[in-house]
Amino acid sequence: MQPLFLHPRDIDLSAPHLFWAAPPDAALTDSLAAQGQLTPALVLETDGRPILAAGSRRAAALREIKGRTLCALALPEADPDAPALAPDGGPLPLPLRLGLIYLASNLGRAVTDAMAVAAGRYFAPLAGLDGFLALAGPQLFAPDDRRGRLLARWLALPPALDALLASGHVPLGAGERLAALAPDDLDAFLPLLGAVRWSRGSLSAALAFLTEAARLAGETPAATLARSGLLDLPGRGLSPNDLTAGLLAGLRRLRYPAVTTLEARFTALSRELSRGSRVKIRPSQGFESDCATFEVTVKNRQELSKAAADLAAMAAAPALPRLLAVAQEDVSEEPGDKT
Amino acid sequence: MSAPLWDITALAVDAAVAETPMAARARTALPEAAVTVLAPGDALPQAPNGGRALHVKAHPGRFLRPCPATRHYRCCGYQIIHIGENCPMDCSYCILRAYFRDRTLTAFANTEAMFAELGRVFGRDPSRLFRVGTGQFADALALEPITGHTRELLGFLAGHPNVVLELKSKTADLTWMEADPDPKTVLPSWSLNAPVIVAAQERDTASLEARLSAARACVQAGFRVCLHFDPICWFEGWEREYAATVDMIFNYLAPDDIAYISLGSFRCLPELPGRLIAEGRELPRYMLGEFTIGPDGKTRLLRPLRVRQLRFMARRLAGHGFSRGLYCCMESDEVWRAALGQAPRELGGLAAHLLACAHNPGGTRPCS
Repeated sequence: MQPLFLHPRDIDLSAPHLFWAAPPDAALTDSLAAQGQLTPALVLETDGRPILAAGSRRAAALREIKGRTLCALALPEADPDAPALAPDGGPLPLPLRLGLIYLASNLGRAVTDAMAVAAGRYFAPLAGLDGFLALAGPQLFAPDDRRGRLLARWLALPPALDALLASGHVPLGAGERLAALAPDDLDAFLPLLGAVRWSRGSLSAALAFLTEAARLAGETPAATLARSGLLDLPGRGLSPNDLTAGLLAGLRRLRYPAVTTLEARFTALSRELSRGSRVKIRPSQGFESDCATFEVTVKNRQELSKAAADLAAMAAAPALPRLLAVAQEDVSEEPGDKT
Repeated sequence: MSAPLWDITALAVDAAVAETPMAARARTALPEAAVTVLAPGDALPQAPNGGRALHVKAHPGRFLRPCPATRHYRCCGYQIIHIGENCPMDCSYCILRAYFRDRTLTAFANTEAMFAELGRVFGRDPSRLFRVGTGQFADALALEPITGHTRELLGFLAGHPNVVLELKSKTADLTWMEADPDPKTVLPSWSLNAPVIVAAQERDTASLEARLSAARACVQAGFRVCLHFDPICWFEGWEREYAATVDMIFNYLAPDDIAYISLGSFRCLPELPGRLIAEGRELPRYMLGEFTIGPDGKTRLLRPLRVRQLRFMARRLAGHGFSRGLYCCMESDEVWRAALGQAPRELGGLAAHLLACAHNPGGTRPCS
């Protein structure tokens, strides 16, 4: 193969098969300026026109260095010795070949979920989901990696969500849950998706609370969310942890108004009762019985004496009977009542 | 060719019971079914045409056993005669979904062994009263036209007047009456529910009207009956729906015709909703209630909501003059007091109370 020397501005760096292309950093630009290009890029020549197949960052960096050309090796249009990859045994269409060369040239890079999705967005429309996983899967994932299945589900989502995956706000595993939402409901939830860094578990719980609350209320999740006030929460300047906790608690209140009312009543009474002491008070399992567990940890006689005095005071407090009988109060609403 | 009864297209009979009267009755009742006699170790055959199999076999263990209750809640002391397993009807809430993972129905044909065991227990002290039933791991009467199990059992129990047999069913089958039992020793009983639950969640069951018509036929023949509102489901409009069913009861029956009525709010093993989804069904809305996990590990509606359900039912039934023999199935003393105004202890214990209701129409105990 003879090297070609191309002007980097003559190369198309925004071609879709360069799906992991990123701007060059200063270190690469400095290295190219000081030591020149040590590794050639790869091009495919079709109709006498070179198409960059690998080396987009080098090409972009060389654009910034006056008078430099891009050294590239031209790959043959079809490699007669390569095993047939196309399902029909024929040559691969050019876009697929370009994509696979690009992947191969990146072999060894750690593939993040966002990178795998970017590859999927390129290959799936060309080869179908199964074709993409068959052709590109081995280069993306280890054989025992479950991400192929998760990736397939993510690709059912609008591409606009990929940025939230790349920024770490939404995990790849949430794709199936998100894909189950109707487009309007997904749009309505989008501000909350970008507001916190969701784990798969927390997002799954949040969406379950929302969709079930909506079903019980006989309305869409978008409508439930709109009347919940939760869309205002991200603008209140809460810490990330507090915001996540607040959103989950708010969605849980929508789904379980009676349970959360009971919990809130119990919490208020137990705070009133245990104020100034280290005693922790827990309700019975599921509020099933009129009893509570009082728990205190002590390290010495003095602490135990203090705890005993605290417990004695609690026994005489007017809040105690109310706390023990908290589940006797009515908390019911008609199923489907809007909260 | 008519559709096979309960969609049973395969009859598999263990060789050990192939010559029993029950096996013969099953062959006669299922003339179109593919019959296989199974040697020990043989696998069950696949039922043809997407149907289900009835497996007639011997039960190797005890036949009489207590209800699988939990110590955390008040049990009614029901004792089960184990006649078979699984149910051909398809109710979304059914606990049998968790117990049995396929559609195969099982009937135990070694009735001689069953009667020997029951005879030892029931005959030991003829003054000791028993309240037993067959509808725990199976519908008591669904397979009766095929197996004749209950008729055989009633023939045996004719010699044990200290035993009252409850026959709990969602069918309207009354063929067991051919055994001509003493009406004082049999309590035919029906599970009832809100009309919308019966229509949407109880596939292949008899209609409410058919169940209550069957109950009325039993009363006309001298029997008293039992009714079970279990599970009571929480959904939009539940009060209106359950009120309709309660009111309907008294179009068919008088309060004195009913020995007892149970109330049980919907509860399930936590995996049940997932099982339904895995079957490709949409989760019923009543399964989206405000549930918590109780101390027995089961999912239950939040206690104040259950109390509201049970109190509503109790008041509606009381409005029709029924209060004696009303009880909560698997509830705590707290719920009993809040819903019914007393705990089982004040009735002398629930099992004893229901035994009295079952054996004594007038009631010697102060039954609320």
